[in-house]
This record gives sequence, C-alpha cells and structure tokens, in this order.
Amino acid sequence: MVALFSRTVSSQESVLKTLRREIFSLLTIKLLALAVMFFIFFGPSERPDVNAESIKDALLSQTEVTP
Amino acid sequence: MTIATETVVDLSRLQFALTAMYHFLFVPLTIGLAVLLGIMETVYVMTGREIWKRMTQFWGLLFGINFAMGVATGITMEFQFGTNWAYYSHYVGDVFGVPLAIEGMMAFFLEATFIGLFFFGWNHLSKVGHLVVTWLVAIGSNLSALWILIANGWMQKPTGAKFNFETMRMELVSLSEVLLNPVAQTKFVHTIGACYVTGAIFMLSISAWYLLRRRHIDFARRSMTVAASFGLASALCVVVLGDESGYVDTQNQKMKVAAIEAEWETQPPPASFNVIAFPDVEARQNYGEVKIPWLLGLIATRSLDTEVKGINELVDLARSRIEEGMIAYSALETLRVDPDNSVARTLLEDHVDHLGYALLLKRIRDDVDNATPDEIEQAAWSTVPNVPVLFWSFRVMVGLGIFFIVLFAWAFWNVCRRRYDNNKWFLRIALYSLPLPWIASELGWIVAEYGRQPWAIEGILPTALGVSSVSASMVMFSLAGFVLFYSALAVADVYLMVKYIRMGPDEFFARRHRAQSQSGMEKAS
Repeated sequence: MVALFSRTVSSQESVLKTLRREIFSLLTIKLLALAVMFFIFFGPSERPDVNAESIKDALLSQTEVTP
Repeated sequence: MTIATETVVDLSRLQFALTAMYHFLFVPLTIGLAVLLGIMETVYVMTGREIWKRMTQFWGLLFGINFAMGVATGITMEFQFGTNWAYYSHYVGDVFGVPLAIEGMMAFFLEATFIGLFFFGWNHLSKVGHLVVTWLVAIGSNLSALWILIANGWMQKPTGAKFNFETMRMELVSLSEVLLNPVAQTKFVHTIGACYVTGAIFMLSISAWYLLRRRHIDFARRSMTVAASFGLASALCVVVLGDESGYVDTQNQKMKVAAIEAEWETQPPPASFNVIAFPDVEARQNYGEVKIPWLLGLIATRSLDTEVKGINELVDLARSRIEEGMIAYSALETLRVDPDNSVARTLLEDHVDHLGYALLLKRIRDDVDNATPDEIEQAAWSTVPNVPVLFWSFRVMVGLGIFFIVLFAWAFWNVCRRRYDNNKWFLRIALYSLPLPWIASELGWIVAEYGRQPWAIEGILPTALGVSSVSASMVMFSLAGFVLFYSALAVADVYLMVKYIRMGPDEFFARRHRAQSQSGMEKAS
C-alpha cells in the first residue's frame, strides 16, 4: 500500500527538485559563459603589459626632455 | 604604448556602463530583500507563528532566484579593469584595489556562505540559529555594498593617496581617510536606502497582485504590512540621505552639481532652483526655466549667503588649474629623466594637485607643455559633463523618490486602517510601480557616474587616459557577448520569478509538503 502511494506521489513534480535543477543548470551555463568570455576576451594574453614606463609613454609627451 | 583612440574609449566606456547597469538590476533587490527576510524571520522567532516562517521561505525563494542570477555578474567589470582599463588599474590600483579585495574576501564570502545555510538549514538549525544566519546574509550583502561604494567614493573624491613619480601611480598613504571618505559614507547610506525601497516595492507590488486576484490573502496582507512600514521609513531616508549626498557633492564636485542644476552663471546667494529648464549646451544658457527662489542655495549650501558656483566660473577655475598642472607636468617630465633634480621635485610637489588637469590636454595635443591658450580653453570646457542628461536624470530620479514616499504613505494608511484589498486603484498603482525603483536606481547611477565625466578619478585621471590601447574590434565583440549574456540572464531571471510568483506560496508549500511526505514514505518503505 505504501509503495503504491509512493508511486502516485512520485509522479507529482517535486517543486524543490525542479527549482534546484533550474537554478543549478542556469548557474552552470552562466559560469561556462563567463569562463568562455574570460578566455576569449579577457585572459592574460589579452591584457596589455602595463608598468611605470608604459604609463610614462602614455601620459607624458614623446618629445625628448632635457633636464 | 599609445593613447587609445576615441572609438576604443567610447566602446570601453559603453561596455563598462552596460555591465554596471545590468549588474545593478540584480543588486538592489538582493540587498533590499535580505533585510526584509531578516525582519520577517525575527517576527517568526518572536511570535512563533508559522505564517511568518512561510513568508520568510517564500520571499526567500524569490531572493534566492535573484541572487543566483545576479551573483558573479559584477566580476565582468573586474575582467575589464585588467584589459580595457589597464592604465587606470596601474595608476590607481594601489588604492582602488584595497576595498575591492576586502569586498571579495570578506563581504561576498560571508554573504555566499550564509546563503547556503539560509536555504538548507531550516531543518538543521535552531530557530535562533537560523535567524542569526539570515541576518548575517543581510549584513554580508550590505557590507558588500559598503566596500564597493568606498571604492567608488574614492573615484569621486580621491583622498588618502599620493602620486609617486617613480612608479607613475597613486599610492595609498592613509587607509582610514579612504574608509572615512565623506563621499563614500553618504553614497553608501543613500544607495542602501534605495536598495531597501526596491525590496519593499517588489514585495508591495506582488502582494498587491495577489490581493487583486483574491489569492493568498493572509500572506499578501502581512507582506504588504511589512513592505509598507519598511518602505515608508526607507523612502524617507533615501530623500534625506540624498539631500546629504547633494550637500557633500557641493563641497567636492562643484561642476557635477552645477551641471545637474544647469546653472551656467553663478547666482547671487541663495541660488534659485530650476524645476524645469531646457539647457542649450551650444548657447550655454537655458530656455523655459521655471524656478523656485532660494531653494538651490538652501539645499546645496544650507545657508543664505553661500554661492553655488556656476559652470562658467568653474570653467575659469579649471583653466587656471590646467595652467598650474602644466607646471607639474613639465616637472614630472624632467624628473623621469633626472630623478634627483631638486627644483623639479619641489615644483611637482607644489603643483601635483593640478597634474590631472594638465592631462586633460593629452586628448588635444601630445606635447602638453606647448599648449596654446585656445587649447587650454578647449580642455577647460571639457570638464563640463553632459548638462541636459544630468539635469533631467536627476529630476526624474527625485520625482520617483517623492512618488515612492506618497505610495508607501498611502499603503501605510491602508494597512493601519486594515483596508488592504478594497481599494483597487491603490492595488493597481502599487502593482504597476514594480519597475520604477530600478529606473530610479539606474538614473541615480547615471547622475553619479556620468556626472563625474571627464574624470575616471575626479581631478586626478581623465577617463580617456585610463583606457588601454586595445583594438576596437575586440571591445566590440566582447561588448556584443556581454549584451547577449546579460540579456539571457535577465530573461531567465524574469522567467523564474514570474513562474514562482504565479505559483504563489500556497501551491509552493503544498507541493513542497507532498515532496517531503513522499521522501519520508520512501525512507519508511
């Protein structure tokens, strides 16, 4: 009897299971999309090498300065 | 490396603006609802009434969906700092990076850890234990906003840092000055207040929808009571704290305030307030002005005899700062070649506060030292942000803020008289108000950030010089990627929200109960 009732209940959708499945699938897709975007557009190879010298080149004039 | 082209600057700005604005669709609801969950669960623990637990769980479900969709959407801005804003990151990273790192390490981890316990700890923690967890989620989300706004406040009013010509960057000299920056403090309380209003409107609107459809009456009435009380207090705070924010801006960002008010000429104090005006940027004057005498002077300076400087006078001031900045610029060039030159060092130290103004000339000519008076004039006028956009964004935001007070006062009046569901007009207006707090928040962001232009760091680093020399096509592709990605997230968020709101608390808990009974029986068999 209990087993029969269990089967009837198990045919009903568990709202929490559905919610968890939806959220975890979306989170997975989101993290994948973020990772893909990171590696295509923002990975270490895409980052300009910036240091005091390159900042100086960008901000100060390119003409020679005599002290 | 060279300066980025105008196209790359514009695309990088657009990309950052879009990602920040998308991210901020999720943030206010998370922060606002977290505190509301704490309030509802506190009532549950104090009264022991099951309905308050159900309310916490159902609104917590919607909070969870929003959190799951919104979490990590802000990380894309950090991607951009490294790639598109590399000069910015180097120039100010020593200061700007500190609050961002603390936010990640402390606030976000606190929030994320306890959110797990909030959802899965109902049957494993004591009532008080779970309540503590819920409040820690709320505190974590608020602290998260605090650190981000400390970083942002420093962009509006850089303090506690000093320029080092050897490393070519701003370096932190006083962490306490950065943390106690008055701009950051006022921005934090104003922004947090706006987030609370967003959470309260969300709860009010959905409760109004249930009452209009005569569903979940008891649940909706109690939710409306919480939303009306909390929302009214928050909406009043937002206006008061917004006024404080405007007062602090008048001390620190005079050009932003003048642009928001479309005040071209300095008026004799106390200045009048333009309720309506149509600013003509070319002619540098307004048409169709409707003014309230004294109001701007009283709001902005809280006195009857202090001026609110107009745009023309501030441009004159910018011109003289550019000329002083050129002295610092020239001294810096000398020091980069001869670091021991004591004369150049003294000149730089005396004029370093104006160095950023000389950098405005870089968009006009490379050899800043030889700028002509016309070029200096052009650079001085570039310190004026977009007046019509700021003028109208501010007024719509303030108008919405006043509307929220009226709406919550009306709701509070109805709640006090126990007249929840027989005023259809009120319920409809409450329902259709749902998108308004998001519009107000985004406009507030436009006023704060677009009003800071042309500066990335006010008076220190022009935005255009913070952009890396990356290719325009790269920025365009990543921008398209972001738009698609965030739009998909927004659609998924709305879909899930609508699905569970339509399902409503009764059906949600009935299905949940069936699922739990089934699980119990499976274990028994």
